[in-house]
Amino acid sequence: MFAALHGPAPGRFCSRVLPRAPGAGGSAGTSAGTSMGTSTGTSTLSLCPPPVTSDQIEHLHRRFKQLSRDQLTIRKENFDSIPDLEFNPIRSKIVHAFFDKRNLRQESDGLADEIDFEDFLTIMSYFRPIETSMDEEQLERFRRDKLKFLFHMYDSDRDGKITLHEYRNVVEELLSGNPHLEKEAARSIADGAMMEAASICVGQMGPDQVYEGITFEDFLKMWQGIDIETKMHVRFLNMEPIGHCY
Amino acid sequence: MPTGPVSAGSRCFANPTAPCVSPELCPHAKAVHGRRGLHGGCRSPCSKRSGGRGLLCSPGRAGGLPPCREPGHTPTCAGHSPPLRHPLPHPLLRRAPTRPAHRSGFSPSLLHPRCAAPPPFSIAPSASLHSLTSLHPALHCAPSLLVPCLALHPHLCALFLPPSTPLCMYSPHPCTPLLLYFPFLAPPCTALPLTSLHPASHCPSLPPLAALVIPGGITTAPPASAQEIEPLHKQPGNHSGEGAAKPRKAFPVLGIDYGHVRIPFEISLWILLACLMKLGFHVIPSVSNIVPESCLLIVVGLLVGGLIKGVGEKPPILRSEIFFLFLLPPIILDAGYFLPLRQFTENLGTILIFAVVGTLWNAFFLGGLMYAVCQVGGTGLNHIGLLANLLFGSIISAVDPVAVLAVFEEIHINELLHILVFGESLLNDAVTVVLYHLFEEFANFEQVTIIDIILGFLSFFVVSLGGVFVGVIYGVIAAFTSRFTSHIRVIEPLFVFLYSYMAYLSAELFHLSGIMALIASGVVMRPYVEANISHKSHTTIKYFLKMWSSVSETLIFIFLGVSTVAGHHYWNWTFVISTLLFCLIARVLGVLGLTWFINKFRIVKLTPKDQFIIAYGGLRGAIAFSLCYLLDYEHFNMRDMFLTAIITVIFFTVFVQGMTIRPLVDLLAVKKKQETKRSINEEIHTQFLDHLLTGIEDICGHYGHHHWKDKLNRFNKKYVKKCLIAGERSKEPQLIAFYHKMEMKQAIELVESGGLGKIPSAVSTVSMQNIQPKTLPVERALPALSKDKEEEIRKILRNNLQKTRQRLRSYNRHTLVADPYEEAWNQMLLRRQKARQLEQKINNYLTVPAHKLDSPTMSRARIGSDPLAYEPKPDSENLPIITIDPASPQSPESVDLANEELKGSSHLSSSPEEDEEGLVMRVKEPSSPGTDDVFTPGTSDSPSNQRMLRCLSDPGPRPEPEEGEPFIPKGQ
Repeated sequence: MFAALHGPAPGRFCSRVLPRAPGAGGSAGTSAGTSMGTSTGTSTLSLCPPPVTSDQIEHLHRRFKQLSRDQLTIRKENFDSIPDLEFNPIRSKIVHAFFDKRNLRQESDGLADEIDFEDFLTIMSYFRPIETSMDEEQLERFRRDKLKFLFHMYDSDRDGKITLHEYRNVVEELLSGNPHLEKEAARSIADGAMMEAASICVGQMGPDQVYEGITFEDFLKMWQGIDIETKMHVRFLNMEPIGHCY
Repeated sequence: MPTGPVSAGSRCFANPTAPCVSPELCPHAKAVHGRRGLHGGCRSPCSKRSGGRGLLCSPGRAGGLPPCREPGHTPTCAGHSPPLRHPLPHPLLRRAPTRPAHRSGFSPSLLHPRCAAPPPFSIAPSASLHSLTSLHPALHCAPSLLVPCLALHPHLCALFLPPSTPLCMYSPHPCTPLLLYFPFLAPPCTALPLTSLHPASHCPSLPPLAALVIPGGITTAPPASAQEIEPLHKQPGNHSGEGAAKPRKAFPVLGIDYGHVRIPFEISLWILLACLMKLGFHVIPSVSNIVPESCLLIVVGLLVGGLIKGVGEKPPILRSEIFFLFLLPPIILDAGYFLPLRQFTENLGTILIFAVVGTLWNAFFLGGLMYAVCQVGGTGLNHIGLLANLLFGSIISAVDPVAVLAVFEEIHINELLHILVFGESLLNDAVTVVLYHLFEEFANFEQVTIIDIILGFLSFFVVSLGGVFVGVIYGVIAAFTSRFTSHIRVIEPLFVFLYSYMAYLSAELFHLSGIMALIASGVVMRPYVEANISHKSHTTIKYFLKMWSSVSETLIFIFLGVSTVAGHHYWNWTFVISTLLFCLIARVLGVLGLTWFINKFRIVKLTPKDQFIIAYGGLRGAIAFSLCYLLDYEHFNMRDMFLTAIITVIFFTVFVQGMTIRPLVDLLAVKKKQETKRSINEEIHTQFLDHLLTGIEDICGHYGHHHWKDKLNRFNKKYVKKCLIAGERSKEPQLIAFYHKMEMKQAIELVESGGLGKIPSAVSTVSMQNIQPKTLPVERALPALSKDKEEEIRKILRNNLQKTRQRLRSYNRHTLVADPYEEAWNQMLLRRQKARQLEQKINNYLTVPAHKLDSPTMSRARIGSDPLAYEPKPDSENLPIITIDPASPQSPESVDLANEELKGSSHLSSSPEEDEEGLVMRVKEPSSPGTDDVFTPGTSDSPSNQRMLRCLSDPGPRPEPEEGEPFIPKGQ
């Protein structure tokens, strides 16, 4: 299947620095070759240029058009048309993440109503695989970005903390695929996990101390054991960056 | 040793023309040779080689032997026609078989008392092949005469077969043909009508002596073991079995019968040695820190082998049958059953490429180059053809799982590298099996056609996929069986072992890859079996597998060492050195080339460091040795040289690479395995990530790894689990199952650490209050129960619980679980205990805020020392306190168990509403402190009056979903 992607791409061209114009969705034609990293003028993060090749962009764009029914933007409802997503227990969180402005590297907070192709690509670029050429610093940033994305998925009220309530929601959703399960089990698991998190992150606490929720720093700490950079990627985005011109 | 009278005697034996061939001379001869231990040489190679080959004596001894034993001068006895002093015109003379014995065929030693009781260190039974004949000069000359001699000379027969012959091979009734069965050590020649040897065998009804097979090399046997006759003569009682002619034998008050126990005894002795060695290495950590255990074991094997040889015995050899049928399966099953499936499947492509293409490359590269070397290498090598070289290459090219496991487990390398090398070593078995059989067959062909090659290629798929298929079938059967074992817990582990072993044997039956079958069955059965069997059975399986595999591994390495000493070596510098060199080169080139290719597709690229470790970790081991040992000497007469080269390579990889790999890993700063405890958070995150990635793949419209995995999971949950897992557990999601496991572990840890003295780290000092600050405790109406009713319930409960406990005390040999509820009961106790602690702590914090604890440590200490001191004032000992504890990890399952328990304990009809609500009743009786309830915390007996409280720990006053307050304080 990769071979197909390697095939002659009619629109292969230099897909680098296209400064993002507000509402550049229109420019995302068949050859919408914006690259994420350099894209947003507002972006505080300068992701190293993602190795999204023009082939992949094309593929994604086709998919985008398919989802949006040839519109320039995607709305939430468009995601309903994906049959496989239906069974996903955390479906709402995933869809949510696409419209979360924090993930879109915009200054503002809150939820977007619709996203254009570039935003779509931005979200997808969180699922890039690791590159061998990355140095330590890049790697660290890479890791942080991915975790930040995850963190935002957990932290639904955008206060920078995963509270117990939010955590319970996550676990309940994870277990929601199982109709036989009572909420109680999910709650006790979330409670246990939260206590564990508190003991990992804070250590020993007195009875009057309060652990309000998992902050991003704590989140980083909890993920220390898991190589997120080698896990959180989608195979599709792992192509040789053949379409690159520097 | 063969000096003085011995050599005189042996000459007499050996030389057919010597006058001393009469049986009557035997006693005399025996007297002459009465010293022991002359002839290790009698356990000469012919025990395992075909007869008729010249080289029958170990070269070392040849010098001391009379001329007729030299090669060439020792044709099979049949061809010999010695002048007999008793030219008996016995008809049997003609009939006596003259065919050369098959390799490791019947050994006369079995007939002989002495050989029935050889010194403790010889495992190989074929050891003293010739002792029978060596007893008597006449026998030496012509084996065909043996029988007549025996038949005609009762006395002589008595000599050979005294009634108390340890192996008791003849039946009480002399005419009954007796099957002699040697299952373990001398497989091929199993049945033999021994009666013929008995003096009473004149019995006319006897069949001809066709079965008496005597190896051709008999004449070469040194006249050893003359000494054995001696004890027989010293014990006149031994002859008494002769018949009525002899005096009755006195009842033996104390007798030695070593032969009776010999085989198990020696096996145990070896295992014991292996275990003690293993123990020793761990007692002295300084040694095992530098040298891997496998090296030390090989050295021990070398020493022991040398010792045995020094004593004059023949050290045993690692026999291929034993290796493949008994020693290898436990190791592979252990590896397969506990295979880290996630990493394995994620890297399956890479592993397969390394295992299949890499091994093929190694085999052909090495075989081809070795052929070239043989062509130019000199006279000794010229006769080795291409196919033999390819065969050699295929034997030696496979990375050995045993060696890899032994070394890699000690260096704690990261999971990726571990699974790459280890997975390769497991999966390359199919390639090795196919190549081995292929070339072995081809070597017999006149010419190899293209069709043969195609068939060979085809057989690769049959062998590998067939092996996997067999394994999967047995795995499913095992899972299905374990569904019904809930009443007979004791035999649960056995099913796992037996089904896996059957899978292995069945695969071997068809020459499929047994290793693949074993792994497949382990992988398939594990998730279902673990859901079905009890916790104890799971522990048993784990321990048994670990124990067997480590003992097997130890034995394998020791025997490698011993076999090195024992084997026949033919050292050819050119061949050995070039083998070693090309092995290394092939490995390095193979890994480099393949990673270059693989990296194109891998997401996580293999760095040069990784490649180095993969190449360097390609250790060879006992499988190669055993495969080579299996070669038929007839067709591959260069086997000794192959063996020598293989042993050299094994030693080089295990010693040099095995010893240096650890420093190299440190030097290169290769990422090591992170010793993290699996935590709940990690599990949640992992699952979350899985679902997220699946979702993203779906959104992309790209059906990749995660997509299919998800599909498979759903299929598994929907259909397979229902069939293979009994009861409720089939519906249990993975997360819950994991949580229960964690809970269980913590509870066990807690109990083991002595009650509440030490709070497990996961619970730590952080309590629910710490993470629930925002909401205030809300008062809540307690479910009102009348006092009378309470009392009634309590009485019933107490009676029943007591009954349960008493029942538990009885011990039954046949059923581990005397009471079907025991399991549930124990687990419930565990869970309750944990719930209770949690609840105590919560109460602590929630209800007694006045007692501000000074420091976390202090608080911990206090809770540890006496949790009940902080129990919110139990009003009176009679008034039950009802605690509602929704936050306690009362999972639905535990509630079920509790309910079941209650229901099981007969009449609990009085509180149906509690039952329905899933109440957990608990009665702590002061009357039963420290009954067999091991899970009672140490502090349980302290304030006994406060113990009289019953916690109606209720998971469900069904709090509203959005209600944020899980904790209801006790009735205030």
